[in-house]
Amino acid sequence: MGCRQLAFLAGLALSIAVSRSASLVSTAPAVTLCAAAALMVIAYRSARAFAVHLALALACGAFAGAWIARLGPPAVRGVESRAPRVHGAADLFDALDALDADPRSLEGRVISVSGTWTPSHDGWPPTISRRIMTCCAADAVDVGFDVDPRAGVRVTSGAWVRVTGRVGVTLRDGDVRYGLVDAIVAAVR
Amino acid sequence: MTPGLLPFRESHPSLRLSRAGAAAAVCILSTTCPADGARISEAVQDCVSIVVAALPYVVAGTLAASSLRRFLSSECAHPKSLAVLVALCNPGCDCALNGYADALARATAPVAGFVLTFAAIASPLALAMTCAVFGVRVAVMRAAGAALSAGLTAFALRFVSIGGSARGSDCSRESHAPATVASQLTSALSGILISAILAAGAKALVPASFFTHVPYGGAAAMALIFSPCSSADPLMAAALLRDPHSQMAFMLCAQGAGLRQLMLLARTFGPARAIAAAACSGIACALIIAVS
Repeated sequence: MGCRQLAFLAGLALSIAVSRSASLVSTAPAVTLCAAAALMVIAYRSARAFAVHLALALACGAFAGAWIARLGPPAVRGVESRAPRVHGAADLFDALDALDADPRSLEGRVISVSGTWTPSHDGWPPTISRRIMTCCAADAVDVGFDVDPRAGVRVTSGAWVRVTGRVGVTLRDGDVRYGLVDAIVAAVR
Repeated sequence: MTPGLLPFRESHPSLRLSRAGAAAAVCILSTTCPADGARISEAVQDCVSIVVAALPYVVAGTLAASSLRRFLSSECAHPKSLAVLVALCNPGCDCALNGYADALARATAPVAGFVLTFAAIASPLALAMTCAVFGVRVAVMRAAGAALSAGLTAFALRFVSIGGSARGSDCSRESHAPATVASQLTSALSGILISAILAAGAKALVPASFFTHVPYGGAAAMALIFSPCSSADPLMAAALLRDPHSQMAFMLCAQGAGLRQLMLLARTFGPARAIAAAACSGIACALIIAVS
């Protein structure tokens, strides 16, 4: 990795920061922007004679960053039905926290939560989930409920929905999972 | 020198070997991975997100290391102590250590090994996150694991020689030390890039549900490959793993012996000492789990 690679990386980070792609990194865009600017200055100071090459590398990095940011948030793969204690305020997290503290407090009761909809895939039921990201997309974890809809659902994958249903408990592969049974799924606009 | 190539020093042999290993792993993954465009683009996003998220910390660590080396006299005994103190109190993510490791160049290998291991596992931010997710007891166990792991690493580094030589107390970095801020940055970011490629590739191939009831040995192995950020590992452990021992193994091994840490140690001390340090972290992890 040389100065041109540093410039490429600066362009990549710059582009991701400018696009405000919150699905990729949790760092504030201003911080990433400052780091990218510092990287560019360091690369330029180290290789002043190759300014054209650096500019080209920066542009290539910016293009790559824009392309990656345009891909959108990574799809939900596996949804965990229990939330870690550190998360933002949200109805879905509150419900999972209550279940974690005392499962009988909500079991059998009808609740309503909002989150991202994922249709059934690979033998897994449909889910409603929210993403917790501490540092970057690689360590993001999706937590939420399995959903057993009352009727057919016409919502696209990744859409923001509100699901109202009765809390049920199932055992899958030795793991206790919470679900919303007999649920009504409504897209939130 | 070929025109257009920048006058950087040659990278450490272990780094070149790791690059070759990462390239081979990517080739194997790309040939064995099912043709799933979405999964490949997720892997690319994961890899880029790791590097971009680490970037501010690596830049900050490198600039801090550079400032320390520039402004403090080499004859004075304080720079070494100050470098150690700053590393131990590192307020940000452990990624900063990748840039900061150069500031420990004047310290002996056992001291540098202790600091790099302890600061990676038990940085203030990591302990705060662990405390918030699991409570005080687990945070204390994490700090104890970090101290044990760092102590064993320091002890081992006294006796493991560099590349067959008998240098028992100097960091191998001194002979391969990058001269400029730019070369320090490239060296640090190369290590992160390699571990990011491997972590993203592994994540793309292994379903998250696979780890739900994995024993602590499996959790440790998972942590070695994924090597998540020290501020993220408590959340990942809480969400992905059920067994408390597995959760502890995940947190300790991710930072003590994870790919990212291994790359840092290999760059700083050479591959033999990096492997010895990783083994020490594994032993410390097993001991902590045994007493917890």
